[in-house]
Amino acid sequence: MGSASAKWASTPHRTRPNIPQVVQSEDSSYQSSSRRRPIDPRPHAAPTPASSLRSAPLRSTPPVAGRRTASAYPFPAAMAEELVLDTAIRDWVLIPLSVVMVLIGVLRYFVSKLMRSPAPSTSPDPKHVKEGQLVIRARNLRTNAQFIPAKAFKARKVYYTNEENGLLHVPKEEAQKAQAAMFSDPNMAMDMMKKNLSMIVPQTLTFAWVNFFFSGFVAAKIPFPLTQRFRGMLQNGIDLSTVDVSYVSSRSWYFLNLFGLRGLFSLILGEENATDDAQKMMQMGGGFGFNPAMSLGAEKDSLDIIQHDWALPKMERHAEDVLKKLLKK
Amino acid sequence: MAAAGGVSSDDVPILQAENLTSNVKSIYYSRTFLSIIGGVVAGIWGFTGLTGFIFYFLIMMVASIGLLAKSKFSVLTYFDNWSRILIEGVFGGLMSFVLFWTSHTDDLS
Repeated sequence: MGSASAKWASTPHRTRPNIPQVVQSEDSSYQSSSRRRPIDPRPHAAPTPASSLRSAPLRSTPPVAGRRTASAYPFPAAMAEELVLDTAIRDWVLIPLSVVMVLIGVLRYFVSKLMRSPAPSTSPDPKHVKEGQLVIRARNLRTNAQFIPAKAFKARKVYYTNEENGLLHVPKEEAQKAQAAMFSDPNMAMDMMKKNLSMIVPQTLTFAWVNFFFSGFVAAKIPFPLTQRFRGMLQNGIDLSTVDVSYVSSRSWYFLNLFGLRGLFSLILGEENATDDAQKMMQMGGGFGFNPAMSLGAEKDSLDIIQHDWALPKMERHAEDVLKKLLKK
Repeated sequence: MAAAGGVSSDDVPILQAENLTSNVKSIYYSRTFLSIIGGVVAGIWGFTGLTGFIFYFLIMMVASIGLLAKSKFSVLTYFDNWSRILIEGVFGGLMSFVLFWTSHTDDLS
């Protein structure tokens, strides 16, 4: 890692970066261009010839960036594409961003744990319990269908799924009513809102923070080449078409963290962490709590399509196999 | 790992859903852990380009073999099919791998 030759005037190297400057400068290309330089075998040489090879934003390197044009060095064009990232970027952008993301994830987990309403302790609606038990019974029938004769299975199936008074059959208007009741239930809505808030608010705040402090940095270089299509994804926030695609802007580093840390959270927070909740919510079909009409209907469908195949006629052969196997041992 | 059930000779699978879920979860955890550690190692060893991905899939293959040994080479006693032990969680861990690979490549260069 070369030392900083194109730094702002009088900013000492490994010390705290000058935050006000970073914040005030609106022009992102200004920051990013003054923060990276081509590879130079001589650490303190100035990158002037290389920067003249590049595009317009890079040439706008301000005069405060201390250039020493005396030691101009002829670069081949290919080498000008390679950038060296300042160690200060690593220390003050890359690592803080990741640490903050992890800490915010942990914080969100505990906040959502605190905000979780103690609803399960209050006595649940008997109708819901009944429906839940019904679904479990139907599921048991489905999984153990092969252990009862065809006639018995058919009788049970009719008991559950017939269109007149089958237990799993929910009339259409009733289903709609149930759905409407669920949406109008204030408790449910509150719960959902709390969950959403605990997801969205920290994310929005973190994104705003990243935008505010770190906009326009080239924060990292991913260690594998990518095609041009990834430019919009990885170089979100810097508009330079000449930089290689594998350089990642800080905003994109935020997104990488957002998705890549999910595994880490599931390891350090256990299975029921906040990010998992989102997946669970999606699985339930857009509603917290289970929707009785929907689960009943799904169970009915899967009971309807099951192919009954009685296991008893094959049991003798099976027993023979097992006994033979035992004898061999 | 708890035995999720045994598959008898032909067509009567007996599976215990809770045990299967817990087994799949333990696969997921081990793969996630390995992908994070693998990313760190790949970054420290300075792998770039295709080498890193080959390294990742090598790790995942080793993990599969380890899981196979853990299940005493009778996968169907613990899982419902072979794809569980071979590909479950491989692509989910890739994102974590890339993240830690990238960050450690950059931290050390």
